[in-house]
Amino acid sequence: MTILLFSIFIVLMLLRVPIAISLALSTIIVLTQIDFNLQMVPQRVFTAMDSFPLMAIPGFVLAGVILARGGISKYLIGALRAWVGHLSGGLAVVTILACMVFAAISGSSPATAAAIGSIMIPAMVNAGYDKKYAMGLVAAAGTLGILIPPSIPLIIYGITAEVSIGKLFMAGIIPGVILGGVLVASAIFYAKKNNYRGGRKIPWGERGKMSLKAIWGAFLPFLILGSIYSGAATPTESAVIAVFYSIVVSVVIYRELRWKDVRPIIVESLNITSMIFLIIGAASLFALYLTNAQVPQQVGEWIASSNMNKFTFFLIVNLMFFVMGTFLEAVSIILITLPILLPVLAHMGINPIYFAIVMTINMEMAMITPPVGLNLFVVSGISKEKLGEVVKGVTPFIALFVLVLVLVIVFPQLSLWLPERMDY
Amino acid sequence: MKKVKTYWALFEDISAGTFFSVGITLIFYGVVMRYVFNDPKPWVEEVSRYAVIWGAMLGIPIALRNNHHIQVDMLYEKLPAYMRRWVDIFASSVGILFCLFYTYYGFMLVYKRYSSGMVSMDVGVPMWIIYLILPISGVMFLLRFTERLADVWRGKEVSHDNPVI
Repeated sequence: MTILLFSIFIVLMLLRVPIAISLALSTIIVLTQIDFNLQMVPQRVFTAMDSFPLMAIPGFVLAGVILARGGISKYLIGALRAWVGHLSGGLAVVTILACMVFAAISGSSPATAAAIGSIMIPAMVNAGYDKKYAMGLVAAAGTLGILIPPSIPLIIYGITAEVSIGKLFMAGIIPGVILGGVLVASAIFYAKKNNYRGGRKIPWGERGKMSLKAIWGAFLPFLILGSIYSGAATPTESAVIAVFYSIVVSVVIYRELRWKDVRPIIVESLNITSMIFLIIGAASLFALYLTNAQVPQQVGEWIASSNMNKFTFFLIVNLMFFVMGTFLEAVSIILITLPILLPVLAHMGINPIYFAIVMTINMEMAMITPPVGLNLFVVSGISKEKLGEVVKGVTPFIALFVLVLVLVIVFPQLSLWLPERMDY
Repeated sequence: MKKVKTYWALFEDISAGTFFSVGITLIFYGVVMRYVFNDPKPWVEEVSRYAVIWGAMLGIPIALRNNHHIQVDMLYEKLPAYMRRWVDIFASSVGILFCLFYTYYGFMLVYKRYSSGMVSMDVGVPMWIIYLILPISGVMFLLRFTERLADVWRGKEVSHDNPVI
């Protein structure tokens, strides 16, 4: 039955049926074969969405959209350019740093790549950077959106695995900064090799002025992460605080939001939220089938009897994530695999918070590996280039991701040190 | 027909947008009441949750209108044009099939909850009203897939490519 399910799923997907509907329909077909009460289906879809922690997703999506449209990302980039734009490779470094700051406010990688890329790709190309490199850099650095908290995949992981979302968020910070640092180092190296010059040096007075302007946006990551770390607010609450803070900053201080922006902002947030919610609903049906057919138990028993060690486990799991990541996006992969993997993690004594970060770095690669890579679509869209060109630009970066992935797997403390310091 | 489509899109946006914004605003209201006025409102969590879900479910057809439901183009891109048309027709028909199923069983659920008189946990709203969103969004989703099927059937040049923000 499970093989039948996967076969139907893959056929539907290849025939260009949206992934969420392929997943839902293939599960429903198999459920009819095992005398399942189909009336449970819509209720199950509804219950899957009916969770207060899940409401952090629309919150952080909306905050990200407002940020990109309300001038906050523009002023952040302006200030970063004033400080490091004149160095060799400065613009590439600005791109990475801006992605990191944006990632600390938004929970989505495509949103990060879109917000920073729409400004920085033209800027880098004007300064003489190779366009393929500029596009690849934005697609790669944009994936930090889901590793540096807040993060939509980590919210979904937390709800599915019943782990504290706050702790998962904290676990992503150090690996996120390391990955950002590796990208910065590679950018400086690349610029030195190709002899890219920076722009003119900005005088101190102007730097101060730009920073003062950007400080309102730069305060937001501290507000979000601080409120979660201290336990003062849940991720959902901090998401809506971020929404209203960015509305106030965009309307009152930057004066860049008008009434005519309201409809596009809401529709853009709905596009992303509803797409994710439909996948959540569809995947919950799939999980229902898995539990019914006792697949997690079977896999768990198989692993237990095969005496697999942790090394082989990580090797197999990472390969599986990589292959799935080429044609699925992050939310589906997490919701499909996690119910099967959780009992295995428990059996092998692997900390689920540490595993979440390993998984998230894999999901970052999923965003930049064709044929389905959300960041590739976004970058190809904003730079009006063929998908293949973006793929060429981004491929060298995969090696850096694998390097950081290995580091995070070998040193669990990189992800566990911060969450273990939380009081609650 | 074009005018009808414009107004229908507006209707979709307003209905989904209202529930969505009200839900988010209510969560914020709950935060303000709890932390600033030290007067937590227990009804807020449930009402805001249902409002956001209503908004997100009404947004599913909007996301289809804007090509935001992710699909795999791997095979499609390699097909000749006449095969692509049949694949498009197939994919839209599968979408319609899903919507019919979802609407029918959604309606059955509403009917069952209506007869049993079950109410929500905190506020006591009848559950059949809350579940009404299932058949409603199902029909609206169905309309968008039907539009898509009509477009590809007539061989209209419409792009259904993956999302670009």
